[in-house]
Amino acid sequence: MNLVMLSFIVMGVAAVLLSGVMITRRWPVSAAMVLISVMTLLAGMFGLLDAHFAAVSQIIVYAGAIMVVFVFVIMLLNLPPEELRYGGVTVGEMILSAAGVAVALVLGTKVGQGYLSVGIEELGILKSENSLALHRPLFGPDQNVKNVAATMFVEYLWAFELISFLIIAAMIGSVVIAKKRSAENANAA
Amino acid sequence: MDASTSAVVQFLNNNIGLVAGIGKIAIALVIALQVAPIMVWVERRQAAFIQRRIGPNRVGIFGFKLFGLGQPLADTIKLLFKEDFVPKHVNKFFYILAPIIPAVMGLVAIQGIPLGKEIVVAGHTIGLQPVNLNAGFLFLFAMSALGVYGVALAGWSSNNKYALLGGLRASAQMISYELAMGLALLPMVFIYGTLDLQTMIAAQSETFGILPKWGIFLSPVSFVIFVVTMFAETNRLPFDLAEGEAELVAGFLVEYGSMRWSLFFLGEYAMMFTLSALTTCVFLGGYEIPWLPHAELVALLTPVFTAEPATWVAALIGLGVLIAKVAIFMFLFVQVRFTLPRFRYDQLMRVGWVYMLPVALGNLVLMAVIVALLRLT
Repeated sequence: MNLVMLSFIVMGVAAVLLSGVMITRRWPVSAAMVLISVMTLLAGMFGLLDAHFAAVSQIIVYAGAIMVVFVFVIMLLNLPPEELRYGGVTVGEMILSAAGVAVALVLGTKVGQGYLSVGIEELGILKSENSLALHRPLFGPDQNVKNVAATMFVEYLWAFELISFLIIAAMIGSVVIAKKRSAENANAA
Repeated sequence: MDASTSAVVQFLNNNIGLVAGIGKIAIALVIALQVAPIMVWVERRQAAFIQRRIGPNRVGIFGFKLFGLGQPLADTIKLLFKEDFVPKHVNKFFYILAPIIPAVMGLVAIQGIPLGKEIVVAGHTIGLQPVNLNAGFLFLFAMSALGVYGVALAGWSSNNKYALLGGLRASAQMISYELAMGLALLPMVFIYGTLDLQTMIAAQSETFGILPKWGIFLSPVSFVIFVVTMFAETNRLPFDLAEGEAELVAGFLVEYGSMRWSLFFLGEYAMMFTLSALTTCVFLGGYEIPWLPHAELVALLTPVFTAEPATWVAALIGLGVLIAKVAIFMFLFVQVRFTLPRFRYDQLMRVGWVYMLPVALGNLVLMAVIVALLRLT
């Protein structure tokens, strides 16, 4: 067992365990902190795959920016510990959980198939054209940033711009909705 | 040479990458850990001079003054002998965790700084950047972004209104200034066409006219914005709203004492050093002597020493040059701290969002157009 495999197992097991820990925390701040460590572990696993840019942006964007805002809001509202619910699980929640597991399985096997078929392909058993493993980066594995840029700004430029447009629309929408409510509250008071 | 020595040599030959990697990380750690005591001395001494106080600038032992070098010693002894006290009302786990985060992040971030070009040992070429990811200096940004959790957590876990306000201010301030900081560096990425600090430094060893081709001359606006945001990111005056003695008594630090308190400072000084070194690498030619590229320096040294030791001497000179350039920024940090008053909170936000961000954006667009036009011709 080499160093990379060992690190992957340690980080993978820790990430799964900590995800479990996260959803069982009563203090919102504790949950946020555990979520940050899970994100850092994910970044470490990206790093093991030589996806340094993905690893670094995982930390900068998620752990370093989005979670800072989360923690800021939690601390600003000074949220008390969540009360644990002992009421049992409703049928709706069970159906939703089952649907979630199904989606996770489908996605997991699709992605896993692409990843695993590298080995199978070499044996000449499987040659799927849709396999993710056949989708090679343009500039080689040591050119992370170039690969991301080429994919984002050349190959999928329109999709990328449309998504950013959609996100801006959503952002403005949320501001408008929040404003309206506070204005009504001010009138009521 | 007996059997055990040759076994060691063989092991070193086979695992040169691993051994060199550990060695480089250890050297960077030693440098980062030395920053705090030296800066405590410089800061106390300079403060005493500026405030015309007799004391930290001349304290000595047994009549030997030594430029006030007794002061850091006295400070350390005082901190070590203080009671390690954990107040009853705090969240104990996070209270103990909080000072560790900035210290660790400061020590990790410095690993992304190129301490020199490369050395040649027994035929192996070893690059002198402890961690060289192909995302380049973004690694430093990632680590400095995580450091703020120490301050935020310290504020929250102290279970104290002043501390909480300090933590809140720190997180809001960090988000506000990190954007401008990133945007200030983007033009440099256009100009050099890379995120890799070694390539950037190599590009800066050229000259145009009599000036070295340093980033500060290529994009001065970026340099100014970056230095200002650097003060904000490290929570130094005039941006130390998270502490704010006047209104928050000491902000997130209020419940901390003894070595836990000094861990925050270890982290702060290490992060100051790292960000100053990043500025040096991007804007001031890093470890290179102006007008003398690394290759020419090695060529000059080779007749004096032999081929391999010449690279070692060049690396030492490079490290000295890097530290000298960083020292200028560190002194600037100290000088500014005792010169400028603290911002008010609304002023801080206005400077960040109304001045820094639009100027950085405008500079980005301008530099992008210029670089694109130059590439076309």
